[in-house]
Amino acid sequence: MTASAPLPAVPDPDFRRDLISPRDEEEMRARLSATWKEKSGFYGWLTSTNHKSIAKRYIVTAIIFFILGGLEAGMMRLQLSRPENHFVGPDLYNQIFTMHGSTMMFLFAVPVMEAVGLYLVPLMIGTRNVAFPRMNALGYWMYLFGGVLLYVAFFMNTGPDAGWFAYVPLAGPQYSPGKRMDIWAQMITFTEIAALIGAVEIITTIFKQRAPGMSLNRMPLFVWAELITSFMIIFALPAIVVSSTMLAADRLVDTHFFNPAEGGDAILWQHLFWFFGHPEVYIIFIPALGMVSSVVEAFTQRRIFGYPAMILSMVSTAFLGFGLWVHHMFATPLPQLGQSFFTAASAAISIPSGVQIFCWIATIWGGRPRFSTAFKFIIGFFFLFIIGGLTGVMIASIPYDLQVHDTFFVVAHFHYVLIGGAVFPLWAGFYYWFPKLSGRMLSERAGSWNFWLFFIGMNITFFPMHILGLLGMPRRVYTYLPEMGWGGLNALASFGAVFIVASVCVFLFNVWNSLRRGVPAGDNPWNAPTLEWATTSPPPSYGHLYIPVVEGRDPLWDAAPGELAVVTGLRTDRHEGLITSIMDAIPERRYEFKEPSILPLLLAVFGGGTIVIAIFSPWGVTVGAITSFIILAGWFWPTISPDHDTPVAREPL
Amino acid sequence: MILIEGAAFALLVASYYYIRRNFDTWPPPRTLLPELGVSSANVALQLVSVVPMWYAAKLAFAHEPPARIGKWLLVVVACGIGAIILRGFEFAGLHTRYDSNAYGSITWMILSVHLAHLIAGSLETLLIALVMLVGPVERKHYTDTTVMAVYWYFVVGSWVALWLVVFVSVRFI
Repeated sequence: MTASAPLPAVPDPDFRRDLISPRDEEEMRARLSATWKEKSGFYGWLTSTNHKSIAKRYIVTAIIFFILGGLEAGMMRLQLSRPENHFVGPDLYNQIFTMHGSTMMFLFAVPVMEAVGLYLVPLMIGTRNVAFPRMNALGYWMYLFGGVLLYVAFFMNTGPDAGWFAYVPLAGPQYSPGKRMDIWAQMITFTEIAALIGAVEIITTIFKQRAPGMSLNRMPLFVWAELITSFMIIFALPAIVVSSTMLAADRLVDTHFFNPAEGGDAILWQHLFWFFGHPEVYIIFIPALGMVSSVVEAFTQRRIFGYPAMILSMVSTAFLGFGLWVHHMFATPLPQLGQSFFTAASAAISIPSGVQIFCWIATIWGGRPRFSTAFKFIIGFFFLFIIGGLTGVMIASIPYDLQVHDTFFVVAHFHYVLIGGAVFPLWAGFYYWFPKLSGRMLSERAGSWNFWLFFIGMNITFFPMHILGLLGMPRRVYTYLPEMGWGGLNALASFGAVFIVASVCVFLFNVWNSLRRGVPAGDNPWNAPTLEWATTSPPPSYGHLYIPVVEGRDPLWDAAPGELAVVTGLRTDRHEGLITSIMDAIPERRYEFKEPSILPLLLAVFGGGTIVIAIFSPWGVTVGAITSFIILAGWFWPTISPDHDTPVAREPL
Repeated sequence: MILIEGAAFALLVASYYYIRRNFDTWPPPRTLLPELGVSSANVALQLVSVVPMWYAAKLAFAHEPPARIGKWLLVVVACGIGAIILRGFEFAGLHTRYDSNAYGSITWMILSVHLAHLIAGSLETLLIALVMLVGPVERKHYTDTTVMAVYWYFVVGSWVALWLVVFVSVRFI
C-alpha cells in the first residue's frame, strides 16, 4: 500500500447498524475477536495493554488499599476509644495515621477515580483503547510498585511517620532520621508518575478519539469530569514532584531548601505541598461529580438539567481549586491580608458545587426516581457532602479556623466531604457499572445493607468529631487524658467504625457472590443513555463491535443500539482506531494502537528499582537514567513491518 | 509533557524568589555573582540550535528524504551536547555548592532539572536521527520529528526564562 489508505466511509446517517447483515456482523465479530484477543497465561497478563484489563487491575488494587487504609483507621479508632489506651504505642500510631492518610489519598482515591475513567471513557466515547496503551500499563505497574514499597516499609516498622503531608522540619533530616520519610518521598515519585500517565491518557483519548459526531458539547458529563480532572492533575502534580524532590534532596544530599539556618524555609514546603494538596482533593471530587450525573440520569430516566451549567461548574471548581491552598496555612504567620483572599476563594468554591446540586435536584424532581442501591448512595452523597461543605465554609473563615485548626473538627469536615463527596458517589458507581464490568447484577438487598451500614456508621463515627474538635481535642495524638472529657464521644466514634467495617464486608461479599451467581445483566439493565451501554456486558476486548456515530448527548435514548449509525472501513486485522478532530469529532485519520508488550513492566521494574535505590543513594538517579533510556529506546524503536504504514525511501530516488 | 514540565519550572522559579526573601543580600554573603559569560554562551548555543531543528521540522513536514532530516537532527544533537558541556561550566560558574545554603540548593536544582531536559531532549533527538539515517522509516516518523521540534523549542525556551532568573535577575533583586 503506497497511497494513503482511504479514510473510513464518512458516516451516512442513514447507514444504520440494523442494515448490516447478520452474516457480515458475525464475520466482523470473529475477526475483531481474533485480532484483539488478549494473550493467555501469566505472561499474557503481564504484557496486557487492554485498557479494560488494566483499569480493572487498578480498581481491584485500589480497593485492596482502601481496605488496608480502613484497617489502619480501625486501629486508630481502637486506640482512641478510651483515654490512656495501650493498644498501640506512639511510634506505631504515628506510622498508622501517616499510612492511613497516604494510602487513602495516594493509593486509593486518585487511582480509583482515574481507573474508573480509564475503563469507561473509551467505551463512552466509542473508541477501542486509550491513546497510548503501553504507557497505560506502565502507569499501573508504577502505581502498584509504589504501594508495595510503602507497605513493605510499614511492615518492616520503617513506615513514614510524619503525616501524609510530611511537614518539615519534622520530616526533614534532623527530626526524622532514618529512611522512613525517604521512602515516603519515593512512594510519591511512583504514584505521581502513575497519576500523570493516567491524565495524559485521558486527555489525549478524549480529545482525539471520540466517535464521529460526538462534539465536545455532546460528551457525557462523566467524560467532561475526567477531562477536567486530568488537566488538574497536569498542573497540580508538578508541585509535589518539586517538593518531594526537594525533601529527598534535603535528606539525602544535604541541600537546604527547608533549613531555616541556611536560608531555607519550612513554609516553602507548606506552600508547595498544599499547592498540590488542595487541587488533589478536587482531583478526587470532580470525577465523583461525573459519576453522580451518570447515575442520576439513569435512575430518573431524564437528561441532566443544565448541561452547560454543570460543565462550567466543574471547570470553575477546577480553576478555583488552585486558588485555595493557603487555607491549610491559616495558622502560620503569613500576612493577614493575603490570607483573607483565600478565605474568600474557599467560600466561593462552594458556589459551583451548589449550582450542581440544584441541577441534580431539578433533574430528580422532574423525573421518576428509582431508589436502587446506586441511587441511595447518591442521596447519601447529597446529605453528607452538604454537611461537609457547610463545615468547610465555616473553616474557610480565618478566625474560626484558628480555633479549630489541628483539631478533630477538621478531621470531621474532610471525612464528610471525602466520604460523602467521593466515596459515596464511587460506591454508587460500583453498583451502577458493576453489571457492565462483570455481566452480573449486584444484589440490591445486600446493597441496601451496604448503604445503610455505611451511612449510619459514617455519621456515628464522624459527627461526634465536630464536637470533639470544638472541645479542643487535637489531631494526631495517640492518646488523651481522662479528665479532658473526650472519652465518651471517642468511644461513640469508635463504635461507629464497626458499622463501616461491617458495611465494607457486606460489599465484598456482595461482589464475590454476584460474580459467582448474580443475575446476568444484559447490555443495558438500567436503560441508560450513554455509549458504554451499547455494547455487551462485559464488553469484548475490542469494546464496540462497530464504532458508533453520535447525533446527540444521549445516544441510546435517541436510537436503540441496533439502530445507531456506525462507521465502517476500519481494518480488523490489526488494532486500528479512528482519530477525530478535537472540537467536532470529524474523522481525520486511522491510528494503530500498540499491541501487548513486556516493555512497560520492564521499565517499571528497572525504573522503579532505581527509584528505590534513590532512597539510599543519589547514584540511583544516574543508574536509573541510563537503564530507562535503554528500555525507552527499545520502546520507541520502529518495528520492521512493511505494510504497517507508508514506508519512506531513505535516499531520494 | 510541556505543560507538566513547564508547571514544574514555574514552581522552581517561584521557589527561587521565595527563598530570596529569606536573605538580606542576594546572592548570600561571600557568594560571587553567577558567571554571565559562560551562561550567555550556553543560551546563545541553544538558541542557535533552534535553527537546524526548525529546518529539520520543515523538511519533515514536506516529507523530504529522511537522510537529509537525519543529518540536520545530528546538528541539533551536537548543539545539545555542547550545551550539556557548557552546563558543567555553568555549575562551576554559580560559585556556590548545592549544600552551602538555600541559594545554592535552588540554583543547583534549577540547573540540574534543566540539564535533565537537555540530556533527554538530545538523546531523543539522537534516536530520531538514527531512525532517519538507519531506517526503516515510515511516514509517522515525520510526525515524530515535527513533534520533537516543539519539545526542543520548549527546552530552549524554558532555559531562556530560567537563565534570565538565575543569571540575570540575580543582579537586580
